Amino acid sequence: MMKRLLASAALLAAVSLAGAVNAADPVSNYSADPQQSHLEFVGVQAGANFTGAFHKFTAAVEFAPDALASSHFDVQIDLNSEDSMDKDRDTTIRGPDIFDVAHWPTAHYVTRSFTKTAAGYAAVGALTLRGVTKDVPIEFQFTQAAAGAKLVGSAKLKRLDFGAGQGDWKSTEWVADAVKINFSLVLKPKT
Amino acid sequence: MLRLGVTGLERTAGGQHQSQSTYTYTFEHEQGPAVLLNYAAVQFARGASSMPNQSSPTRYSAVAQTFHWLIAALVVNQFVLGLWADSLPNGIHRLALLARHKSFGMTVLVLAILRLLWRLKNAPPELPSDMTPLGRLLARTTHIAFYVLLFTMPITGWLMSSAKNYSVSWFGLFTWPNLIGKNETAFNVLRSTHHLLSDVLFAIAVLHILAALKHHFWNKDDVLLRMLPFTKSGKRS
Repeated sequence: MMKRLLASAALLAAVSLAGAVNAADPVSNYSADPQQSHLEFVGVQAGANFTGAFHKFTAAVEFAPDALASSHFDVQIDLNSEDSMDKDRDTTIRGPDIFDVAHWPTAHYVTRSFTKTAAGYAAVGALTLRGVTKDVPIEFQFTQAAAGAKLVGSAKLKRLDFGAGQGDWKSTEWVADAVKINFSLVLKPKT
Repeated sequence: MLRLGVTGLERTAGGQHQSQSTYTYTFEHEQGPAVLLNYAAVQFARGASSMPNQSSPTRYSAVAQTFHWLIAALVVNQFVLGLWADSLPNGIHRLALLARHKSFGMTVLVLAILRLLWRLKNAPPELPSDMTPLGRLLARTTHIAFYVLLFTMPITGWLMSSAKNYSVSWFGLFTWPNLIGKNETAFNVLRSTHHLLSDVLFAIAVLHILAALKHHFWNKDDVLLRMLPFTKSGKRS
């Protein structure tokens, strides 16, 4: 009886200790300010670059340079907010052959691990687009600011890995497979 | 600079100096685009046929023929690609056709610049002496209109692409800068202009071809032959 009680107490202590460590987690929690943050992709169409912005997305960022192991990004992108500054192109991109927003209105990116690099940081995460989940590495720089932080970086992916190109658009002759992602996030402490 | 020319005129004995050579003298000492335009106008007005110390040729040179036939072939190709693309809905086939149309269009623009520069330095053969003043006016107007269109067609096309935020690539090798920013209204105006100019180009091309055939079969002169490679164009009659 006494033994069991002691064991329970120890377990309780362990749990509360874990909780205490969690509470003192060294990462800071931020969210991207939608007014000042930008997320865009650069594609190549008939040999020329074009840029599309996502006007609506949320980014929950838990990050600290000295606590990479417990850092974590979670980004939700509203694919309907895609804007390449031409309605014909946007109709195609949002349409069934590329994003198919009617079936998959959002893309989701969640990081798994972080590493320090010469230029800043790198992360590997899983991107879910069109129901396909694949790893996409990102590189970024993180700078602490007075009221938050700034996160600027880029990623490279292949659109066909996610099936973003059906029918005629599977061809890479006129629309390149490689797509670059650029992001510039103004982070505010999460309240 | 103009004063130099006038001084030159005053210095020549008894004011017998011809005004034309005074003009040439003045020109050679001036610089700048205004002068180039002036020169172009003068050369066109004179049919570029009376450069001093230069006998006027009887045939178009190999360079002139190459410019003429190469650009003519590209323009025909542009009509085919442009009209074909226009008949298609938005999609990869339309995109591909328009990409080629734009690459060839920029090629025409570059060739037009080279051709104009070359044309200003090299006199074409003179028009047959038996042509009526109206015929001469028509021929000259048509030729000037061609030059104007060889510039305005590609430039309105380039502006169109810029206004629609589709940068123009040259066969995937490099990208031309956008001339203006994204502008839906400008795009619609430019598209109408591009189409209207293509109608004008088509009309004067028909006129040009009919005139060449008329010269060949009706007047039986060498106006057509002297632009054809691998022919001899002596006096026909």
